[in-house]
Amino acid sequence: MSSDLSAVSGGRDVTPSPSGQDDRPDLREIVIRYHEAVYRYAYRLAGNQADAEDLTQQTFLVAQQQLSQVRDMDKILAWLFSVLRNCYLKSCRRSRLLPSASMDVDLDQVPESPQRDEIDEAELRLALDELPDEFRIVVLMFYFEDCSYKEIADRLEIPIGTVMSRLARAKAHLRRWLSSRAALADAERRPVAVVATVENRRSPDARSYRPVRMDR
Amino acid sequence: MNQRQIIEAMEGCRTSSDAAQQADVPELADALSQDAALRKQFERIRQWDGIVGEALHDCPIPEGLCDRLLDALALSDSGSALAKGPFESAARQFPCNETLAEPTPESHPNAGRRFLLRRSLWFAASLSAAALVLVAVALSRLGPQTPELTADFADEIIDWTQTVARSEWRTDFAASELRGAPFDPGVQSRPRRWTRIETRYAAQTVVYDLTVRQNEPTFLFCFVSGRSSLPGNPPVGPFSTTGGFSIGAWQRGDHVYVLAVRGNEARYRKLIQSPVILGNMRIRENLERIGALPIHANPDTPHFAIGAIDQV
Repeated sequence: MSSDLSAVSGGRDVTPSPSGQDDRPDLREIVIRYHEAVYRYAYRLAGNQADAEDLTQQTFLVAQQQLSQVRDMDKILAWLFSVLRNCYLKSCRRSRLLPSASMDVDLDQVPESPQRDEIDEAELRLALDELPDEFRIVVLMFYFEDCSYKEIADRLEIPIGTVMSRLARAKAHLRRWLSSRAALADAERRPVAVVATVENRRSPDARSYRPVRMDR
Repeated sequence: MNQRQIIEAMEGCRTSSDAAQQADVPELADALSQDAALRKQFERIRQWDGIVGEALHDCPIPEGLCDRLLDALALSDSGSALAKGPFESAARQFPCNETLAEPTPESHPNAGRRFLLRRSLWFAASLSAAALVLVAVALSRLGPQTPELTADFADEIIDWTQTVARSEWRTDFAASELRGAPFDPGVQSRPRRWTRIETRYAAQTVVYDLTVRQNEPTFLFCFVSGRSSLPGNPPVGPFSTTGGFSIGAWQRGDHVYVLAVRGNEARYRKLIQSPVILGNMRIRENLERIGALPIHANPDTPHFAIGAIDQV
C-alpha cells in the first residue's frame, strides 16, 4: 500500500501526522494523498468534471465525519472508494436518468486491441456513459479497485453470477465501442474515404461498427 | 463450466494477477491449458484490460482541486464547530456586562454589604440560568434525535438489521409494548414476530419481522418521534437501496416507520402496492358512508383504503 500512497500523492510532500501518538493520518494528509485517485474514479463514474468534483468533495466530507470508523488505515483508499460509490449511487438516484444501451453483446468476439494512443478520451467517456449504472459500477470497480468478481459481489451484495455477467458484458461493450473508433481512426489515416454515421457507430450491433471503405 | 462461463471467468481475472493461478477458477486454468484459441482470446482480453485500465486512469486533475477540497473541509469543520457550541448562545442570552452593573456609592452603612449580597445573588442566578440552558442543550443532544432526512436511515439501516439479528424475537402480538408502536396497515404484509432494539432515534424501537424467505429479510421499524420531514404515507418507491436493502420511511402521527426490504425496488413496491391510503382523517364517517374499506388495526388511528381519490 505504501507504494500506492506515493503513486497517488501527486508529487506533493506528504508529512506524517504530527501527533506522534498513533499512525493515523489527519484528514488534510488524506486529502493531499488521495484526492487525485478519488477524483479520477469520480470522473469516470459521473462522466463530467463538475459532477466529479462535487462527488469528490462529498466523499471527503463524509470521510471527515466518519473517519473514526476506519480501523485499518492501510485500506483507507478502498474505504474512500466505497464512500465515493455510495455517494454516487445516492446522487444518481436523485438526478441521473439511466442510459438505455443494449447489453446484448457477443462475448466470444474479442477484437484486436488498439494502441494506447488510439483510444480517444471522448469516445471512452461516451462508451462509459452508455453503460447502465449497475454495469458501469462493476466495470469501474474492476479497473479502479482491482477487484475480482468475488470481491465485487461481496461489496455490492449481489450474486457472483450477476457480477460475472455484468463485468463481461460491460467490458465487451467498451471494447466494441473503442475498437470501432480505433478502426475509424485507422481508416482515416489511410487514403480512402470512410463512411460511418454516428447511428452506425452507436448501434448495439457489433457488425454495424465496421467502417465502410470506398474507393474514391 | 460451459463456454460462456469460461469467458466470463476470463473477464473477471484481475489485471494484477495471473489468472491461471487464481484458486477460485481452477477450471479456467484447465481450459486455457487445453485450448489454444481460448489462450489467444484470453491474451487479447488482457491486452485490452491493460489499455482500457490505463486510459480510464488517465484523466486530467482540475487545477486547484486539492486546495478547494481542503477549503471546503475547513469550512465544514468550522461550521459544525459553531453549531455545536452552546456557549455562544448562552453567552448571548446572559451577557455578563449587562447583569453585573458597576457598584454605585450608597450612604447607608450596610449599603455596601447589601450591594454585594445583591450582586452575588444576581451572579448566582445568572450562573444557574446559564447552567440550566447548558444542561438542556446537552440533554437534547444526548437524547433521542428526530430524523430530519430520509437519507439518515440509509446510513444506519445496516447497523439496525445487524442488531435485529442478535435480538430475541417474540410472537405475542397482544403485548403491551406494541401499543406504543402499532403495525402500519400501509404495509401489505403480516408480521411473523417482533422485537425491540435501541437506535439513536429512540431507546425503544419496535421491529416487525415480515420475512417470508430466509434470504430476503424484511423488517418494519417503528418508533415514536417528534415532527419530522418524512412523508405522511409509505412512499411508493424506496429512497435508498443501501447495503442491498430497499428502504422507505414515513411518519404517521407520532410514529416513524422505516421499511427495510432485502432486494430490489420491485420487492419493496410489492409490499407497499395498495389502494390509496389516507391517514387519520376527520372524514371517517364520509369514508364509511361511501363504502371505503377500513384497514386500520387500531381504532384510534383509523385508515381506509379507497379505489381512487376522486371518490372522496
